[in-house]
Amino acid sequence: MLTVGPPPAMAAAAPRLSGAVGRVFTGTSPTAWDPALRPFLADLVRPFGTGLREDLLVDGAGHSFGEMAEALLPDLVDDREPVDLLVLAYALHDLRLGRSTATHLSDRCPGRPAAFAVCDQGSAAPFTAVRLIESYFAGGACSRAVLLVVEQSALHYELAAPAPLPDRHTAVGLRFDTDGAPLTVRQRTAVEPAHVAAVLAAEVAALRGDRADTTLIACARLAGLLPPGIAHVVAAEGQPCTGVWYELATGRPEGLVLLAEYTPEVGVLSLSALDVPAPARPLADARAVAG
Amino acid sequence: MTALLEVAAHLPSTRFPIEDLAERLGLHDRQVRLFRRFHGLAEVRLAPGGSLLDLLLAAAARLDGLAGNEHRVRYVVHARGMPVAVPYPHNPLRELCRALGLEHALSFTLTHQACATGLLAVDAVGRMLAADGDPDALALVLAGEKTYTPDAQLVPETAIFGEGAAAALVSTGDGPGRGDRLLAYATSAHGEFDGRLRLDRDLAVRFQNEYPRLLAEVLLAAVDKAGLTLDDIALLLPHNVNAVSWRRVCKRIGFPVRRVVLDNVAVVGHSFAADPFLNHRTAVDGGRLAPGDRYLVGAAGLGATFSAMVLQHDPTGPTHNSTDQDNTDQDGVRARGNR
Repeated sequence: MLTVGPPPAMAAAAPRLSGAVGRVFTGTSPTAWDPALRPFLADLVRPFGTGLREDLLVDGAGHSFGEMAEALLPDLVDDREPVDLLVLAYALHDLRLGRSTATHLSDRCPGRPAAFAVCDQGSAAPFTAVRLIESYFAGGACSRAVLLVVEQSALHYELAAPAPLPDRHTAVGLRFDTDGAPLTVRQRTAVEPAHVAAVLAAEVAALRGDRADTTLIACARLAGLLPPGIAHVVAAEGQPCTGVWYELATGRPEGLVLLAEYTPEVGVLSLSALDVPAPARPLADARAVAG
Repeated sequence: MTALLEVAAHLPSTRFPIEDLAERLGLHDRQVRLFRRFHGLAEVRLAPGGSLLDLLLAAAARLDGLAGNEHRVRYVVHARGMPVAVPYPHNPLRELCRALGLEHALSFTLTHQACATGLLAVDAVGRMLAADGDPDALALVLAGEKTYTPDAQLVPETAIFGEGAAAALVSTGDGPGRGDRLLAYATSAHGEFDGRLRLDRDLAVRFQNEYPRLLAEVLLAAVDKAGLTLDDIALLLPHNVNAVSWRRVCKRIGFPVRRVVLDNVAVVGHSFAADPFLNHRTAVDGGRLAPGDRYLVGAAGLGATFSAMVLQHDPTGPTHNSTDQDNTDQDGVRARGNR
């Protein structure tokens, strides 16, 4: 149970990244053939006049957030390490539509932590999730948290408007403790596409300072808009919500690592700065598994 | 200090006696009679043909303190019980931001605590505001959902969902006029109850058996965290699942049922994460909270999450400047109060 008083005027502690794991999942969840999926989807789309994708419903497609995220937990925490808070972040919804998966995952996580999900914010959701974790660390009631960023590629109805769609199933798990690599998040709102490059350049300059050992991990949308003179990695377009986090977890960058994500549908430019002192191992217990 | 600066409620104008919903919900006559006689349910407010955006906008429109203060709103959060509400990439929350001049705000949904998510949202945005350090900044929390699928219409032998909606302005900073101060929050996750209660009878029975104990635990934990005892609690704002479960919880913890705001249970329906706010409005409009009163809010969500919050009433905040309007339904009929 998480019990907290009012938030403090001064932060008692700050979360530090102490573990990261990323995994691409192949195959299809058994949930794709769940008889409950079709009627739920039909109810969901009916008011919007959207057609179901019968081909996907018949053939079976997609993955379950719960199954993917649960597979990462043993690589993030062991049974002797109780977690206080578990947060799930996603853009496109789960294959298992009615499940409170974050709460389900709490039951699979040491410490049976308080759990919730952040969504309806596109690729900005994981950054907001980190801010929320930060705010619970600040009160002192939380000293270990897990963030699970998930996306699955199946959309069982016609897309009503252009929107990012994953081309693979990906889950990324991040572990936060009071020891580890210092990590901060900044989010700029009401950022119009025409101004993204300038805002990004200013934010990167402010976060970078005079650090030469800086790597920028940017989402695919920002490719071509990156400030010059900085080493960079561009995340895969097919991982629109997990991409930058997947690169962080599997790429093992060192030095000052900046993450940049632009989410035009909500007008948010999100940035994160992570200081990984070289030549120390970048992220304690970091593991990356792909395939 | 997190505070509820203002709370507004919207109840759809259409009242459905639960007998009229029997076919939609797949209930037999005996089950309907059980809901009415044993659980204390009579009717449910629904908005047929209306959208989620309509519900949330109607609630937000009843906030006196929002117009003219849009620039102060940093966060707009939908506290949602159902993990999915609309097809991707529809985003009613963003549409609401555009409609209300809040495009500058960071908007997102909190979910996966089912109907306990409303309390989470208040605590979470309070912490985000505190971290920002701007005492004038506000957050807008919205709650309310459409009953679009069976999972969002009925909890077997427990509750019938309605489409009441609420909006709350959350502030931070100390001193009078900041609204009802949040003293403590407790939340407990019980993922062992994940599943489909409609289909899994054993799970439903286990959940019903454990529910009073688990809800009692968080209620008492929140009171203890606030440095209080139940004798210090003037009022308990419940979620509107049914009356009998609250009588059981009250018996377990030794709290008088007459101090639980059960008025809306019979006539509104369980409005997902909006219940605590709807009942807050009812309590304030009914004059059941005095200056300085400490009150307890309880909620449980399927899946399952149990949560409780203790607040202290501040009558100098704008919460109490517009009581003639906020709890009025679309037809201008005042919603049931505590008088």
